[in-house]
Parts: sequence; C-alpha cells; structure tokens
Amino acid sequence: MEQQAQQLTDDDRLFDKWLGGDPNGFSELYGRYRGRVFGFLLRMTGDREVAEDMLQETFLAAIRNVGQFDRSRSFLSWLFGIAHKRTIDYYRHAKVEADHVDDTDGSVGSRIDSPEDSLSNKRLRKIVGEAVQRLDPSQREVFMLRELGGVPFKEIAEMMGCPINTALGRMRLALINMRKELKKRGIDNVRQI
Amino acid sequence: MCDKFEEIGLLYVSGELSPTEAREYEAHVAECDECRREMEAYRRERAELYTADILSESPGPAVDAEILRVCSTVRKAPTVLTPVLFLKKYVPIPVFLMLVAVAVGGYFRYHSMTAANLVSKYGGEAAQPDLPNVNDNIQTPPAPVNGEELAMLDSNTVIKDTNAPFSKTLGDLNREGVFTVKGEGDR
Ligand SMILES: [Zn+2]
Repeated sequence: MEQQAQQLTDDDRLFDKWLGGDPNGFSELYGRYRGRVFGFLLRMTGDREVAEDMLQETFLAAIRNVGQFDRSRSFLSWLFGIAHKRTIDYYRHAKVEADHVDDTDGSVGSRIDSPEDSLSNKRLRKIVGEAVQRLDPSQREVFMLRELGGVPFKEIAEMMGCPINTALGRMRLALINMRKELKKRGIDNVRQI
Repeated sequence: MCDKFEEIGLLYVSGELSPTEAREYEAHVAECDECRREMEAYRRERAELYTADILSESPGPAVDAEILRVCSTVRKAPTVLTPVLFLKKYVPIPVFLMLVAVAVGGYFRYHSMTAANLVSKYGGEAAQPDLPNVNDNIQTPPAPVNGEELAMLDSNTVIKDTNAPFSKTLGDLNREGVFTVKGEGDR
C-alpha cells in the first residue's frame, strides 16, 4: 500500500513536470507504463501490429486530452481507460469474432525485455500469457484492467457499462479459469514453478 | 457455500471498501474457511504470477522511438503566454490576488460612477437601487482562481495552456504527414 502511494505521488510529480513543459515528464511516464498498456492491448487484440498502433494512439490521445485528466484518479487507470476505448473501437470496427482466441496457442508471443531475465521468468511469462489468452474476452478484459492496470472495480464497471457485480462476477470466473489453465500447464496452487 | 469473496473479498483486496466494511470483512474471514482460502490463493497469485513483470509486454523498439519522437516534437511547441498566464507565472500569489481584487473593484467603481453620472445628468431615481455596492465587491474573494490553480502555483509549476500548443502541433504534424493518427472511421 505504501509503495502504491509512493508511486502515485511520483506519477503526480512526473505529470506536473510534463504539464510544465518538460518532455522528460512524458518520457518517464511512458517508460514506466508502456509495457503494461502494451501488455493489455496485446492480450486484448491478439495482434502485435494492431496493439503497437493502439499503443501509439493511446499515448497520443493522452497528450491531446491531458487537460481532462482527473487528479483524483490514478494516472495509470486513466491511461488504461483510453487504451480500453481503443480496444472497444477495434472490436466494433474490425468485427473481431469473440472466439478468435481459440485459434491461437499462445502465439501472440512474449518479448523479453532484457537478456538477464531468468529462464523461469521467461517460462512463467509464456505460460501465464497463454492462460490469459484462453480466457473469455469479457473475463480477460476485467482481469487485465484489474491486475495490469490496477483499475478499481468501480471504474472497470463504468468503463464496461455494466453493474459492479457483473464486473466482480467476471473477475471471479477469470480467476477460476486462470487456475484451471495454469494447472494444465503444470502450475498448481502457485507453488510448483 | 459462501459467496462473500466474489461480492466483497475482491473489493477488499482491491482496497475499495470503507474502513468499516473492511473491518467487517476481516471479521468474517477470521471465521470463514472458504473466504480465507480464496483470499490467500488470490494474494499468492497476485504476488507471484499476476505481476506487472509477468503480464507486461514490450512493443518493438521502432514503436518506442516513434512515440518518443512525436513527444519530443511536441516539446518544441511555443508556449503561448497570455497576459493572465504571465501574471500567474511571474507575480507572487498575494500580489496577484490583490491585482484581481483591485481590477474587480475598479471595474465596478467605474461602472457605478458612469451610472451615477448618467443619473445626475438625466435624473430619475429608479436606476439608483440597482447599482452594485462597490465595497461588497471588493471584499468578495476573487472567484477566478480555483483551488487547483493555487496548488499548481504553490509547487512553482510553470503554468501554460497545455491543450492549445499540443493539439496545434499534433494537427500540424498530422497535416505534414509526419505521423498518422487513426480516426474513428479508419477501421
Ligand atoms: Zn466467506
């Protein structure tokens, strides 16, 4: 909790820096959150190129709408709200089939940030990525918004236009299904890694 | 079979319960094996599997470079410094507030004098009661400065109109074809 509070203060500082005209404020915020936002977009679209386009659109929209950022929210939640809108547009315009995920076998692929990443971490990323990809899209949406974006359930429900209990129910199902998928891949009860 | 974890437990872990609700749930967890097991499992998963490290992904280096390049171009946008922003930036807060008060007071004094002149010139008492009271207006706290702006001034932040230069520059870049922003109807 303390770390989270520290992070928020830090975000505020960077945000002020950015507003004050110092572009380092933006690049630091970008460096801090690009991986999370991209992880969300990649898992939601299943297409690396599309997700990369959306990443750019998300940050450009953030620059354009910087005046609308509500300081009572977290910067990351706000950013995820923008990214989430992109995925909705994507699903709407591309008419992506809800079951497109079934064709993949985790082929979305993970790119490891640095060569020092341990093997087990690499393996874990692959397995968890595959399990997330197997979730029903609406469960995956809540799961990623919550776990990667740290978006509160109240805001998730607003973003998805559903009652908070629906969002909670989807999260609960996501957790149960994640456990099943992880178990199939040899991770049981979080211990056997 | 207890369903409180889904209803309240998730909100508890997410930190979205009020202190009272949180205490009530803690008391429940102390007695409910199912909720306790669920919460422990979820917390373990969050700590070991659902971390930013594991769930994040990296875009290609070209994408990073492109976004940061656009950002650095935005930096070069000239800052539009209107007289009001200039005052906010370079004049200390008490002096600024005084200037606002004097300006507001002066405005009404000017208008009341003008009105008084008109009344004395053309007569007629009906206009008199509608004249604003000069003293009342000077004592009113200046409304245009809100809490947020004061907070920003306190932290010595350089204040400028962030929307205008950004959107203008992005628009310019867009027209020049430096980068493409896909609109709603592109797909
Ligand atoms: Zn219970």
